[in-house]
Amino acid sequence: MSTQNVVMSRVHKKGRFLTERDRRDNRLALLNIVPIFIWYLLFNAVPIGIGVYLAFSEWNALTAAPRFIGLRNFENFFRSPDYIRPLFRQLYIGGMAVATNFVLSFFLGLMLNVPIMMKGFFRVCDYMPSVTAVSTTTAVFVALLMPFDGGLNSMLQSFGMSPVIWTHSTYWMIFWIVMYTVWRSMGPSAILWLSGLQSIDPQLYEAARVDGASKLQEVIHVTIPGLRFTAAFIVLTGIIGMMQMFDAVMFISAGGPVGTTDVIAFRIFRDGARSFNLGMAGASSVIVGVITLVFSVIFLNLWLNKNEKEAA
Amino acid sequence: MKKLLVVAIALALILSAAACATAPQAPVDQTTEKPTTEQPATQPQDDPVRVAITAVGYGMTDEEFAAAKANPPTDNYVLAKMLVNEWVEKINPNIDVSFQNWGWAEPLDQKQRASILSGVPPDIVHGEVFMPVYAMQDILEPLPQDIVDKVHPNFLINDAQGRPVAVSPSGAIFLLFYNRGLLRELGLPEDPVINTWEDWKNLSDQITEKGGGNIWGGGIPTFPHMGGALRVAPFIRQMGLDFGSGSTPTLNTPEWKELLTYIREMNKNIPPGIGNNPDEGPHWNLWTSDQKIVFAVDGFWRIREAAVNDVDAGTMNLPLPSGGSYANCLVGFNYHGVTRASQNKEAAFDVIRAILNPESQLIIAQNVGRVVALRSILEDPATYEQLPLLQAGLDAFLSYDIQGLPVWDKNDAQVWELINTRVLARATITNDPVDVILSEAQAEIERLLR
Repeated sequence: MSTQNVVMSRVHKKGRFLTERDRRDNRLALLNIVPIFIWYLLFNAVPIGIGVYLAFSEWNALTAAPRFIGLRNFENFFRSPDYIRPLFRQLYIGGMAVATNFVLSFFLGLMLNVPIMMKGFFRVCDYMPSVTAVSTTTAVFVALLMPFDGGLNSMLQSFGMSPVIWTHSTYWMIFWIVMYTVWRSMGPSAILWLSGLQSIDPQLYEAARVDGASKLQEVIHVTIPGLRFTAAFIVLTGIIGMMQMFDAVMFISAGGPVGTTDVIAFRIFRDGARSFNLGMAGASSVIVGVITLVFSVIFLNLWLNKNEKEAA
Repeated sequence: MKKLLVVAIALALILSAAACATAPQAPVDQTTEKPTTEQPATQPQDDPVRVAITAVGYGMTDEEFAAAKANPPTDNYVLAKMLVNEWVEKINPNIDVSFQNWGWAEPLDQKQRASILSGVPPDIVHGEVFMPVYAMQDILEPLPQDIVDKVHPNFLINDAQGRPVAVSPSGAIFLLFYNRGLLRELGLPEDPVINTWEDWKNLSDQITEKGGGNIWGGGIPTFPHMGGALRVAPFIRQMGLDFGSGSTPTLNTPEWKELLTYIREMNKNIPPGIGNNPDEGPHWNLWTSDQKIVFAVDGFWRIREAAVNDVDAGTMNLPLPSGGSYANCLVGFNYHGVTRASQNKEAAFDVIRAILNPESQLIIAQNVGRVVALRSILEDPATYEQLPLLQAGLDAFLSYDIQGLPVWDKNDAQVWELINTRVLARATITNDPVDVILSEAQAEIERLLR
């Protein structure tokens, strides 16, 4: 082995050739990380572990301890329409919300990038829905959707149209759930698009203009490719959010009419917090978690090219 | 400097995470010779041992009691609560009771179950629909005989061995309320005679037709939650049947088919989307403050609501089907029980005796729109003299053995959710054949109970 190789291998060995300053810096770094690591362990890892254990148990939180029942909960999940159908609804209602949000927030981001007066005010207005309480804003939605004397129906009747019993229609309930979710998510996504837009090198636009590109061609050949990473982030976080969406369903439709907008996340909430069927709640959570992970991995592998994956 | 700053930040994070946790309160052990935290280190011989009781339920928290003492309440419900605290002192001056408000319904159930799991539950727990589940799970102590003897049996729930383990200080059953003012306005008799389902349907249809979209006859609501099941229960029981119980649902029967068909037809007399809305509020607003619905099925408390909103109301017992007999369902009960894990059971039962004190019971009976548990108050004709609207229901309550909703052996909440949404609400939201609704629900519930 050459002298250079020996020196290089020694440098890479832990603790060798580290100065006192290096060791001090390492200790400081660990001191920074340890509290959040403890927090993560206590409030994430331990509950996840307990949830996985409960997935293989039967327990109603009144008896002394969970009873191990093996794979029965998982069997019940895949055999029962009460779980499979809500899982598919989670995917397609959530998927519609993610897709709609992706497109609308992009255009909103483009508009927010226009240098106009009071652009800061408009950006704040767009972001506000995401920081409001879900219970409060859905209460406003529900009041508007009241079949008798609700805001929307009163408006329809003032135009001579018949009122709509929104709560009796699966189509309309899905529509309003998606609209509400998009209304809340659009602001933060638009801000992300905005930061992505502002990170694109302006020289690329100059070069495109020099080459005679139109505005549309600039968007297609400069803007969109430059936003791949931002788009990946928005879609990925959208997928994760989509698989956890339940508050809008709970407050707007309560899974109705007749369970046709019931999603798996709401089912898990009801199993855990209302029925105290903690075993099924655990099993359903494990399955949803695995599906979310698989979707995320597949998406990242398909969307990002090799360089972007390495950067990520 | 940088190192000190980092250490300070790290310590702050750890301390703030630790501060978020609260240690469970250790129960006071009155059997030990060691002094408790409430007692001085040396206990004089003639000072009795004080007992700390934690009661989740009907009584004032320490802050509320202090405020009420400073400003005596004028609201009868609040006054009745205050008297509970005072009676604790009268019955057993050695009790330091801490009444706690843990909410109602699901949040209350969650907190109580979490405390039971932690091994340090409150001495007294309370609730409505989930208390029978607690009773069946054997976590409540059987009530002493003196409490059982002085209350009406309808206010008790039993454990699996048939022993009374929880008592409610008050409750209600369902009556058929009607708006006399609206009937007068439509030129109809303001105190109609309604004995049968057919009588009711005919009159309700007539009202809806005459009302022209502004006044509705009213029907049996099918809210997609327990509020729907509670109101439907009396009607199926009138036919000698029920939802089922234990591990056996009884939905796929001719009686249920007849009832669901009736409910569907009557639903045309409720504004569309109101009788099966997840939120009950709009329905009750339309009866009480907006006064657009004539008939409503509700508990005794609607008498007080009518009075407060100036509704010229009348009441009658629920009409019967052909060949049916009187039946009803308990509603609005607030059962209190002593947990088996309580370290001070006798003192906890003294608190329950205080909850059932005669002064509070009389105030509730005469002012709050409930029937009360104490037989001496409930069965005294003078108690409800000033509440003629309650009389029909009171006579029935005293004459019949009335039960709450049945309890299922497993997946209780899930079974009820299925009944509320895919039987009751589905009957009025969709036009699906009634026998299909019932057969599908029957099969699904049997699967859940297997």
